[in-house]
Amino acid sequence: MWIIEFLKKALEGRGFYPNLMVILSWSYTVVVVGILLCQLFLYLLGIKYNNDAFGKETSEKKKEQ
Amino acid sequence: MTNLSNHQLFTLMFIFEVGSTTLFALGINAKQDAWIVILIALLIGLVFVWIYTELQNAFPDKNYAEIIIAILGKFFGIPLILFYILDCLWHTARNLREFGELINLTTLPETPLWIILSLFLSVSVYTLLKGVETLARASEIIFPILIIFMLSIYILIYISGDVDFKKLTPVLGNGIKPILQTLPSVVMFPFGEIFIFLMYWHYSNDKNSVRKTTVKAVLYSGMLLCFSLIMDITVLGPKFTSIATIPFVETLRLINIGNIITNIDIIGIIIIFFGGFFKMSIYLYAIITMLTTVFKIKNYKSTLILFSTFLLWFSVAFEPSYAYHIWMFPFDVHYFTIIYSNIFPFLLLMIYWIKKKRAKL
Repeated sequence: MWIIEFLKKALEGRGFYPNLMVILSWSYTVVVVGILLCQLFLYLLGIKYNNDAFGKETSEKKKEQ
Repeated sequence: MTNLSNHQLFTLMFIFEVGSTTLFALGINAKQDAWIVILIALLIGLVFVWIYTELQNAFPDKNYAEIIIAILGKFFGIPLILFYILDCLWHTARNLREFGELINLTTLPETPLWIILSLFLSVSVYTLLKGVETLARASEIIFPILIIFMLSIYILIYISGDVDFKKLTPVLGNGIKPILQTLPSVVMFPFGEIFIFLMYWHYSNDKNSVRKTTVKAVLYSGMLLCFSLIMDITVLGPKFTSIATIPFVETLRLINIGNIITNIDIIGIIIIFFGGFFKMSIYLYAIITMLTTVFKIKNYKSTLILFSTFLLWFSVAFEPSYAYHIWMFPFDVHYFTIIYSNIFPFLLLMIYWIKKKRAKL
C-alpha cells in the first residue's frame, strides 16, 4: 500500500512521541470531520438541536452592548 | 479575578509571535524570496486570526478548553483537549530546549543543559505562580526593550556596511513553487500559534477589542519578522542563512562600528531569551489551565509545579540533540501541529455555526 510506504518513509527515525502525535492527530481529525458531516446532515434534514442556550451567550452580549 | 488590558494582551501576543522565531530563518527554503513567504503567510495568518477570534466571540467568557466542550460535548471534547495538551507539551518542550541549547551554544558551553533549563523553567514557574497578570505586566516592561533593541540592531548592521540588497535578487528567480512549498510551515509557525491565546482572550477587560488587538499584534510582529529576515539575507546571503545554526546571532556578530561597538551578540542573545521566556510561559500556563479545566483541579499551583518537573525531564529526554531539533522542523508542522493550530479551530467554528443554525430551526 502506498500510504504505508509513505508513512514508513516519513516517520522513520522521528521518535516515539512525534509518531504518536501524527497517528492521534490524524485519527481525531477524521472523527471531528465525521462530527461536522453528521451535523451538516442533520441540518439538511431539518432536525432541531434541542439546546436553546447554544449561541445565546453571543447574542445576549451583543444586545447588552 | 484575572483581568488583562488590551495593551497587556498586545505585548504578550507580540512577544509571543517574535519569541523563538528570530532564531530561525523562516521560509529560507525559498532562498532570497523568503521574505515574500513571510508576507503571504502573514495574510493567511490574519484570516486564521479571524477564525480564532470568531470562536472567542461566540463564547466570550470561556477559555478554549471550555469552548471545545461547549461545541463538541464532553464525550468528544475531552479527548480533543487532551490531544491539545500533548501538542502544547511538544511546543513548550521544544521552546525550552531551543533556548537552553542557544545559551549552551553561545555563552555557557561547559554548563550542563539541564542546569540551564531548570533555571529558565524556575523563573517561568515563579512568574506563573504569581499569576498571569504578573506575566502580562512583565511583558509590558520587556516590549519596549525588545523593540528598541531590534531596531537599533538593524541600524547598527546598516552602519557597519554589511548590508547588500542585491542579495535579495533575483526576485522570484526560482519561480513561485518554492514559495508555495514553504508557505504551510510559516503559516503555522509563528502565525498559527496565536491560537493559544484562545486560553487568554477571555481575561480581556474589553472583549470587543480582542480581534483588533490581535490583528495589530500579528501584523506588527509579522512585519518585524519580515524585516529581520531581509536583514539576515542581505547580510549573510541566502545560502549561508540557510545553513547557519542561528542566523540572527551570525548577523549580530558582524556588527563592527570603528572597532568600538562590536561583540554585541551576547546582549542580543539575552534579549532574544526574553522572547523565549514569554513564549514558553504562555504555553505552560495554557497547558495548566487546560489540565485544571478538564480534570477540575482546584490547586493550580501544585499542578504547575508537578507539570514543570515533568517538563524539565521531558525537554531533556525527548530530543537527542540540537541537530535532531532542527531536523524536526518543519516535519512537526506538516504532520501534526498544523492540525491543532489551523484545522481544528476551523472545524470547530463550522460545527458551531451549524449547531447554532439547528438550534434556531
